[in-house]
Amino acid sequence: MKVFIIVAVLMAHYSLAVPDQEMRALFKSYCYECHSNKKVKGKLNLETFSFDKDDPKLEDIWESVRHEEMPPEDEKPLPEHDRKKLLNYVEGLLSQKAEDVTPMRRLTRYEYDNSIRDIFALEKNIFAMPSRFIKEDTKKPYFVPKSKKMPDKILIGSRLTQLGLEKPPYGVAPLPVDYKEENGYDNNVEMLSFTPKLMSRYMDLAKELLNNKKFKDASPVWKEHFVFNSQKGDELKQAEAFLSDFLVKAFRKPLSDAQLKRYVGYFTERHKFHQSSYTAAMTDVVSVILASPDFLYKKPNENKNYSIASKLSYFLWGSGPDDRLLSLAADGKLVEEEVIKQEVERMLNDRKTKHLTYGFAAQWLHLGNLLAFSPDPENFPDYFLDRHKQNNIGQYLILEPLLLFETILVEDRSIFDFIDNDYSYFNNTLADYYKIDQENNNPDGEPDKKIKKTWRKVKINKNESRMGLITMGACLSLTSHSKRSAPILRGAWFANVIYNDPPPPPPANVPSLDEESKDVKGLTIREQLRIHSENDNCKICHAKIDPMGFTLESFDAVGIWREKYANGRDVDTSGKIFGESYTTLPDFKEIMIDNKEVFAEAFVKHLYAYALARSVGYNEQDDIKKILAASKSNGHKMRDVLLEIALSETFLRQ
Amino acid sequence: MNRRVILKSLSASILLPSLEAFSSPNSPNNDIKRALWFYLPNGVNPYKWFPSTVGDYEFTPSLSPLKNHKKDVAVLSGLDRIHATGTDVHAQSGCCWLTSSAHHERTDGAYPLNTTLDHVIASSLPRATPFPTLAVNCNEDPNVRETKHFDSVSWYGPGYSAPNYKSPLGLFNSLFRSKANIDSSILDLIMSDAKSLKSKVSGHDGEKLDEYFTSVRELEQESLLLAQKQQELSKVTFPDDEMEPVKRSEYMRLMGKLTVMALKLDLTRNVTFMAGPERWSSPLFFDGVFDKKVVHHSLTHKEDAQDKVAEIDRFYVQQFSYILDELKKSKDHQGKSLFDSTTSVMGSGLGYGFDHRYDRLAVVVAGKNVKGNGQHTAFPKGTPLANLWLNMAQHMGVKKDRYADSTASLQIL
Repeated sequence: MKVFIIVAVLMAHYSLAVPDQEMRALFKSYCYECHSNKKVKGKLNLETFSFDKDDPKLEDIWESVRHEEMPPEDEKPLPEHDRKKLLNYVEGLLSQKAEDVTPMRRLTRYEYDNSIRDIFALEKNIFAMPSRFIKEDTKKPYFVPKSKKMPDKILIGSRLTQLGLEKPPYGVAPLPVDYKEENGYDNNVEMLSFTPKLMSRYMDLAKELLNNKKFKDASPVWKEHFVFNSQKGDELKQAEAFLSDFLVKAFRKPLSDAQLKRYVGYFTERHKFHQSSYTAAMTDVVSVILASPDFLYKKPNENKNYSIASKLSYFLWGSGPDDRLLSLAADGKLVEEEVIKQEVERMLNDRKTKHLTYGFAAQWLHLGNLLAFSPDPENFPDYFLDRHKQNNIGQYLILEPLLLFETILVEDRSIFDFIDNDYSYFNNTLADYYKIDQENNNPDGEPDKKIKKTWRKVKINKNESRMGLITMGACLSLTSHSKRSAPILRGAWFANVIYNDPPPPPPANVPSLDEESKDVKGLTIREQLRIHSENDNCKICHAKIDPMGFTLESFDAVGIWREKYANGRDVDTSGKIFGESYTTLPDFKEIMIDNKEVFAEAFVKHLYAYALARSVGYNEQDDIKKILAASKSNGHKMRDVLLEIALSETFLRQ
Repeated sequence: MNRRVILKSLSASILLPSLEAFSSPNSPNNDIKRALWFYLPNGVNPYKWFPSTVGDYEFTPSLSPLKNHKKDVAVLSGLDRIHATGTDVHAQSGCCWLTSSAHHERTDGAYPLNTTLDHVIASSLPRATPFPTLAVNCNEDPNVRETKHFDSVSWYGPGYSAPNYKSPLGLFNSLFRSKANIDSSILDLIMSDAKSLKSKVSGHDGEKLDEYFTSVRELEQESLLLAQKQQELSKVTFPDDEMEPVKRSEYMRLMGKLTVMALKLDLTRNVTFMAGPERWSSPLFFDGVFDKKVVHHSLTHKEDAQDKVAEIDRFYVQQFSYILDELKKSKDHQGKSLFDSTTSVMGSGLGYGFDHRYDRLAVVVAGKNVKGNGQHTAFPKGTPLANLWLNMAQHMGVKKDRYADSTASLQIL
């Protein structure tokens, strides 16, 4: 019987996989021109293609047909009913893919840091990391999400000026940097490996921390529980009482008797048989707890309630669940939709939600790449803030998009503010750089003591050629070469970040553009690139990414407006997007805004990949549609989107 | 930042305990074989690399630092890798350089990436050293600018890269100052947690958890084997200054020196040594070539910078030559010549960085009795690089008749 079922399943699969006569005919008329034995473009030959549901090319086919990128514009058009037929067929195959589950993975170093901070009730994080770019005044924090309002004037510094100089508050050096997925986040399960070297670091790190004096002084948990207090009964009782509580917090799951017994047993062994002091024995036990996979891994679902607690807390806080979430989990309440809604609201009002700025926003925008950008001082003297070229405007540019993200998050604004906003934060240096009217920046003429640290919310004229994130200096610079803007890289950034449709990696055997060769001098960059991408194989991808890059040519390599190139030629910003032609940046913006739901879908997909800590594709499209539908009526407000993700089936599924 | 670390005294300050301390008369390892893979990032400029004649040859500018080693090195050309589409050319050239998967196997996303040769060899032979293999990577940049696929040539398996040592001090501490503090009661505890977790997961989650098991087991073995040498290792010293070499040549030599030390004290027998990560785009100071920091990858794509690219190639060949010098100077724990027991391969994963060519890879093999020593051997176009890897695996004592897309052993070892 069993054998029969397997055979039947195999046969069903097989018969579905191979295109039938009708499908073949369709491929033949519309696709074989470029994808068959006689010509193989984009490495796809439909005559020999496997049509295997797990072949990544199948999802590419689905995406390009769905987005009407294929067949390309200059080929025979595919009639709508044939497109539907083709999509149905491909979707039929894709729907057989096994559903991905949110996988088990180790914590990122941010998450490790935040989790330690919270289980020891510290005020500061244990790692000093320059990649937390905004240096906030901890006594007077501006980031207060429960106020639902970002102050008009804030005092902040940039950590990019402090590179490597900030002292670790508790003496421990940060864990090594985690790799970021190319178009994703450092929490992506595929990027997070566990190695012997890392294991050894975790073990040493815990010991170093628990023995650090500043840490002991700063942690109420240490002061309360790592020192024996005779008023709390005998030593063993006190240790057991603490561990039974601490283990639940550290492991984020209900504790089994056996597990508690093992750890209490270890305490006894250290304390009684090895004659360690109470404090030394507790230090030994807790450093083992912090090396256990139960702490270091974000685990799958042993217990649905606790699992939801962890999912919510790592998504919204980049840290473990707090007491309230754990107690709701213990009471079995976290499976109720109403409770989740209340908790998401509460969590988003907590300052811990700041982790989204670095865990999500900075990585979504590839802001880390700005660190690698070093413009030529001769071509771009204004980028540098001192004669020695040690300080540059990059340290301030990088804060601008992050402050926009935080404003949208804290004030629960529409996600469309990312591409169409009428406000932004500047300090004087940045306002000068952008040549923004100082009076506008500081209407009362109020003198600022800390002039570089003072950032003000400034109203921007919506009709100017500004499009939110896209025209911010940080985003324009991070794709540039040292001597010129790079429209292809900008276009690829745009396709990836704004439309979540990254181009495939460039093929082998293609030299990149050589801007200094004699043949191309005097041409505009667009003319040079036209020569470069004349090649048939390259045209299709370039048709997708180039227009967005060219349109942004109105901004030079360091994000400053220009109308002419250095060689005197005019900047040509014309192009075609969503099937509509435009000549100027404002026209382009108008078309983008007409099609803003495309951005909304792309953004939700980005955030969903972050929430699930893996890449998303065909399987998640229904979730994404539902999230979009539920948040649309209020214009996709940020907190609605976050809430809908938290409530979505795939996110919560066992 | 400008603190200059004095390296001059280095050879004096790395004090080795006397050799006798290490030799163990009953050791069964009479014929120890070692391997070192020196990886060149971003391809090379082939026009300044390959000699114009086969057989005996005149040194090209890029290879000239090997002049003193001419009789001990074999210059190879014609070896090839096939690029698997859908992945980045740079990433794949690095992470798949030593892969055991053929180009058409998609083992890690679209990458034909699998357990790499160093790990295949180490895991096929009885464990004899604290570190089965050692991955050294001269990537000075503390920032992460690319994915892991650009930053390691040593992989445990698909998607699972081995940790790369990038800082001299970190490498020194791991090799010679390991705290070896893994006692069995700690292991019992965390392994009980791990086993209890393991019983509840499957599939991909299980694989992720296996990484934890592997790590703990490796660390345990490592610390046991290091503990046996603790006394000797503690005698090795290093300058107390925090290491921050300013010049790239000094930094690379220090990493090279520590690598040779690890081989000498038999802490490992397989080393991958990346001269730098693929692409990455961090400005580096190639002292003696440029007077300021440059981005290697950007230069490779500039037509009029190709002479400079060749000078960077030459710079890296100098560092490789330095490692060969060190190997020749050293005897292993049994008092035998370290150079004689070590097969060193220097090579790139891209043929020509300028146009991302995958064929005609740069390969130089150094060692005792390599067939082709003193000569330039041109293999027929399209000979798989894997043929060399198969040859090496067999030479090291691994019983295998195929490796990745090999067609036959290269038969030079």
